[in-house]
Amino acid sequence: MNPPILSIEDLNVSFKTSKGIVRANEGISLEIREGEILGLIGETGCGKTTLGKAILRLLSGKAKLEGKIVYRDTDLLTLPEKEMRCFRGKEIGIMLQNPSACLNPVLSAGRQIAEIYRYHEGMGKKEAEKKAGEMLELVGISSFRGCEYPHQFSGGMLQRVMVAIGLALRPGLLIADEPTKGLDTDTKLQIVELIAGLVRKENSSMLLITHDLELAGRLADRIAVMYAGEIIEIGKAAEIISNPKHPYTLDLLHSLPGKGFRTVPGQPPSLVSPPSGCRYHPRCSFRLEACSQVHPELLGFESERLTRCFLSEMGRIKETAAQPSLNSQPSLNSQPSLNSQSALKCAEEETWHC
Amino acid sequence: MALLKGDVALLKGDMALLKVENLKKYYYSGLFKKEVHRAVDGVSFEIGKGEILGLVGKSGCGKSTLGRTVLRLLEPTAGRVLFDGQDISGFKGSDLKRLGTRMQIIFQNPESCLNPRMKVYDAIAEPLRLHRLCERDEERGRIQELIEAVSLSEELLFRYPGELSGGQLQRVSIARVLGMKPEFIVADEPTSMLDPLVQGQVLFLLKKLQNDYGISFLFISHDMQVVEWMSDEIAFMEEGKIVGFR
Amino acid sequence: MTDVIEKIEITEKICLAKKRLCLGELRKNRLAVSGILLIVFLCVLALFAPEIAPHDPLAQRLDSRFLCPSFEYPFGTDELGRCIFSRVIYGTRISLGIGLLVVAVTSIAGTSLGLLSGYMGGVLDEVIMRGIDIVMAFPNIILALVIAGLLGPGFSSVVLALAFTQWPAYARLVRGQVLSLRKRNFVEAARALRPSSFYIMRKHILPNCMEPVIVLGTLEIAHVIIFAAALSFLGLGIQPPDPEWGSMLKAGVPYLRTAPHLTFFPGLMIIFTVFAFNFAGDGLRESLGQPADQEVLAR
Repeated sequence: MNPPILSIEDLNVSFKTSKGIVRANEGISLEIREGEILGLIGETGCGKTTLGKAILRLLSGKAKLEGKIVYRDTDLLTLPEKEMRCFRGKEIGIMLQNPSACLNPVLSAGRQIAEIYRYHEGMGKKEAEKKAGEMLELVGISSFRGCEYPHQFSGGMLQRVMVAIGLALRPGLLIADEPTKGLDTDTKLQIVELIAGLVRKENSSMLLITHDLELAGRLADRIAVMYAGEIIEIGKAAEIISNPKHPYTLDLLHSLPGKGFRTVPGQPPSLVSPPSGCRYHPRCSFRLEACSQVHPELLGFESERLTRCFLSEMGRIKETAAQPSLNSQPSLNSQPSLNSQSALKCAEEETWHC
Repeated sequence: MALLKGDVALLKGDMALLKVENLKKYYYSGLFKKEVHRAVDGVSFEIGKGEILGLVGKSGCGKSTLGRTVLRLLEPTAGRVLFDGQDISGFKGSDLKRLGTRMQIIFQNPESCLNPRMKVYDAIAEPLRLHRLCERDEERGRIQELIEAVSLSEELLFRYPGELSGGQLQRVSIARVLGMKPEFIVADEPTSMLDPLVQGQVLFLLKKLQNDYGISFLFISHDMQVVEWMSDEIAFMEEGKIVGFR
Repeated sequence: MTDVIEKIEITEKICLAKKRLCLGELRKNRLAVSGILLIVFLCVLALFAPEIAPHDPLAQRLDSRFLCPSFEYPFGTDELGRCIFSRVIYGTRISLGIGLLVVAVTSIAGTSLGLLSGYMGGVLDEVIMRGIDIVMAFPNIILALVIAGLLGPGFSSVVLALAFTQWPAYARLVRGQVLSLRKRNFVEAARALRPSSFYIMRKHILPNCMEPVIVLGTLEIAHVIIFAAALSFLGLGIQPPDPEWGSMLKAGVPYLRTAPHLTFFPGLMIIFTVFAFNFAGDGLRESLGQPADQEVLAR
């Protein structure tokens, strides 16, 4: 096992807003190892982007960060802002969502990459532009297109430019926040395979933030699943996909059209006043009585595999996962089967408590 | 192409609710309007009553333009759209207004498909008021029915769209469209911006509408799996043309 | 990279910004608060001028000309023995009146023209935009001078002259807003209901482009007040003996050395008023541009 490149210990991130304190991340503990791709999965508003930005301290001044984020031997949370600046990009690169908003529309793509070299490595103009061209070639854009402006690129191409910017300084860790949002199915795969390929080649690490479990399963070494600001399951990618132990992960997996297309009632909870007990209990179909009262801990029998669920301790999810329609479940809703007709009926019976 | 069209027509006979014939939408650009961008280039298809036609294609292939042109939200460059046997391309005034209640559209991005300054209640009531579909005193009850049909909770009615989540917003826009009892809905990638768990909810809801009310859909998406699950028939689109049916 | 990231942050914020009126934010902005308080104070002065002013602003007393500020005449008297304090207070009525009236007229006219031009497009758009080009091709002050000169001096001609020079700003602002709103899905969804264009403009587009118009209006009041004072100073605006700050300035110019209080106090009032509206306008703009409670509170 490789040593960790980044370790997060008990990270809490909260925002003060007019509606109360938003606890975007609560008690997050994670490790990303050298040369590893870690997939971070979760729904919109579960705090996964916040976590990505918290690592680089890119959150606005309103955010309150507690805990420890250690990159190699440096504690990032206590680092002075000046040194943090050198850290961003050089040691840890980031690709934010929505490339068309992230790139400066009045600077050409090549220029924007060259700026990085000039700022961080003090290169001359010529040299920086040459490096920028190489970087573009690396992500599959001909270096001639370096003089074009962001609006001349398509969505997938822009995402490639973002990859080039994120990897320009060969960082030890790349944080990719939803690199496939808004792209076609085909382009999606190309982009992600490109990023993963480059990261692997450089032997750097990556934190892949996405809501696409299938994609993460294909590329990541390990997967962490987030729900309502907490990590609820973490483990080897293959194991998570083949044998999810938390009901939420199971539901996510089954919600894919190719895998039964099961729907889950309800909406993701608000981070201002999350549900009592287990945060997933209002939507969970395996709910026990204790779930609404006691908050489960992130536990595991094997050191690699942690789950925040009472059921997994008893090993029940495993058996129920294998047989989706068991009558002995302590659930209120019957399990929708794969048959679309009866699934429809279930959809009717469901009460979506919003 | 002609053969394909013939086959489809043969299958459906007179049942077709919507018949699109050789529809074209060109955009002219450049200094002398010489450059032509053929967004939709001679598309023909039919949709029967209560049928879902899936439309798959890459982004930028003209599928959204096609959806809007069929509804005459964009004026076609050439071609005919027959709805219930009538050519709607010449419709004006009150005819066009009546058509508004029969053909509707649901959009991709739930965050921008509702007016941010209108409360949910008013957004759902707007079409009812515009087309005088019910008396003032019945309005409340009708809206109650509608939000029940899309499984929205009542407390959301007096909130602004900015306070709702994506899935909820998408259901509001479905309820809003449903109030007019449309016969045909263009669903333009209704779930591509939603989280996987919520995507299922919305798709089930659309499927349910097809079952319960016999609404026909033109279901536009780039996700093959979703389209396969949703549709009775699938059309593939590439660079403004339909290249095949299945 | 860092500045790239900062840029990214800023653009992201602008993109995510749900522009909403955050009065809480406004309250934190001290300058804006003082501006608003000053505006309230000016309004009180204008409304209760007869009660506050110690003297009749038009009453001449030739035996007490050029008096220095004293207890009876807080700001002294002018070349005709009129109480400057009372005149300045009554002047508030005229200046605020012109400012509000002109902004009301121009914002309504400009907004409607901008709406029409942006939403309808085509020939109407061309006509309105060329109209704007023509108005903007002349320097504002010259155009206003010409119109005021043609109409003859007086309150209504000042208002007309200023209104005619100021409307393009609103029309252009609103047109730009409309062009971006028109592409939004909710406008398309509303069009699918097939209502009249007028209905869509009134119900869906207008409410969503009011915020910048309000900000512009607040800032424009200051501009208009200066402009009106300038017209009066040049002799084409409000005519003596009516107490207008600009014309008071002009009347005081010959005595600038011997009796500076004649020009000092009206000038001070102009500066205060302009500051007040500018601070309030800037504060409004900032609070409207603030993203509502950051990205976390999406729902």
